Amino acid sequence: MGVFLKVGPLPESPSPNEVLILSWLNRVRSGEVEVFAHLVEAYKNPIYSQFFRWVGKSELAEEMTQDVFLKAYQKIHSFREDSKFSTWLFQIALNRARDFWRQQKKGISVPLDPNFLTSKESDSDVETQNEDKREIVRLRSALEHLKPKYREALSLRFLSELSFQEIADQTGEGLSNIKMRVLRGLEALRKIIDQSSKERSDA
Amino acid sequence: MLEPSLEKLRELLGDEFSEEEIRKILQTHPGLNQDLPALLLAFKSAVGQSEVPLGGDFNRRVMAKLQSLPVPATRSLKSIWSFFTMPRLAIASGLAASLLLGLWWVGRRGGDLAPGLNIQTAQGPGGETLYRVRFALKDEQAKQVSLSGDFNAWNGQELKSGKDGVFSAELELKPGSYAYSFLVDGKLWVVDPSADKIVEDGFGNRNSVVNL
Repeated sequence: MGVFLKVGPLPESPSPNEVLILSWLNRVRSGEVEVFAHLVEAYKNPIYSQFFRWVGKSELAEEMTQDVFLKAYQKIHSFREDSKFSTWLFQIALNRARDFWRQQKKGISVPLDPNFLTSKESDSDVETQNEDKREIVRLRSALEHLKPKYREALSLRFLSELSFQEIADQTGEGLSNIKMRVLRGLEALRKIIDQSSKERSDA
Repeated sequence: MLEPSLEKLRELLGDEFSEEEIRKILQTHPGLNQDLPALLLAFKSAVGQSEVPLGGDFNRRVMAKLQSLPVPATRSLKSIWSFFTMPRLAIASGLAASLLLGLWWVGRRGGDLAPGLNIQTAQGPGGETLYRVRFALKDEQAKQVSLSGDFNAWNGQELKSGKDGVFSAELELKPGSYAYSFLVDGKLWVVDPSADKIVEDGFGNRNSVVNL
């Protein structure tokens, strides 16, 4: 099983086999555009789940998923049949995320889902859930302050839950380089969170 | 057998880290051990965050947008040729080519700034072939980087620190195959991403190799 399908929830239907995928690809290449819908159906959920983990916002994740399919369609002739289609799609998705991380670092931010932190119920489960949500908000806003390369390494390791070796394979970087990035990313993240808690308690 | 604090750190970071690496991490990032459980818990919560399912009309919207796009270009020779022979594009691609050439030239002239191996042939005093090899590692966070390898009997020599976190040294070497590695801040061994190949040294470490 390829790197991509290992991460994130699997599609609801069993994943189509590579032979079937290739036959769809060839039909699209020879002009049957509507066959592309099968590829969208087969891969939309795992790609969307990836983006949702990386950015935490459903509308944005949906928009980015759409961008991946449009890009894949435009580049369909550059897909080489000796690689896996899912891995190729993941690469396009990662590049899309990289653009977003770079933009966000420059301060072009998208607000969190408005209903994310509000809840009208008041039992203890909801309290715990809200505490979790606060943790997530803190984590996600700290991630925005990281250098994109550290954010990418941490996102792939702890949000996509890839192994270090899988990250190295997917990004083309050396294993020790990836380990170093993850460690430095964690160290930087720790400092950002520490700093913002200090600022909150000083205020 | 690792001490409990090291074992805990390894459990959190995963078994892809060797015992040696875990010990080094504890030395270099002492605060991490304490804060890591909370950090990783926050990541776990983020992973567990339930997502709103994709809109039911997602496929339809993608297909509608896609059908408004031009048919993707094939990469046949004919289409590449026609791309370059289109008059306006030909000028643009000519400009792009000269820009690339310019960048390549600047890159070569400013070669001491770029990371990665740079190999040039030279001649020894007796006319024998030598290679002038520039070893360089880019690491913006590093304070000091040294280079150890077969050529200096693994006695590390400090690299010169240049712009943009590039550390480099130039050595004259005879033809042959040399294993080497960079040591960052005296603590972390790093392979060279531009090496000809990466090999295991039999002790669980990985070294870079340059073939001359």
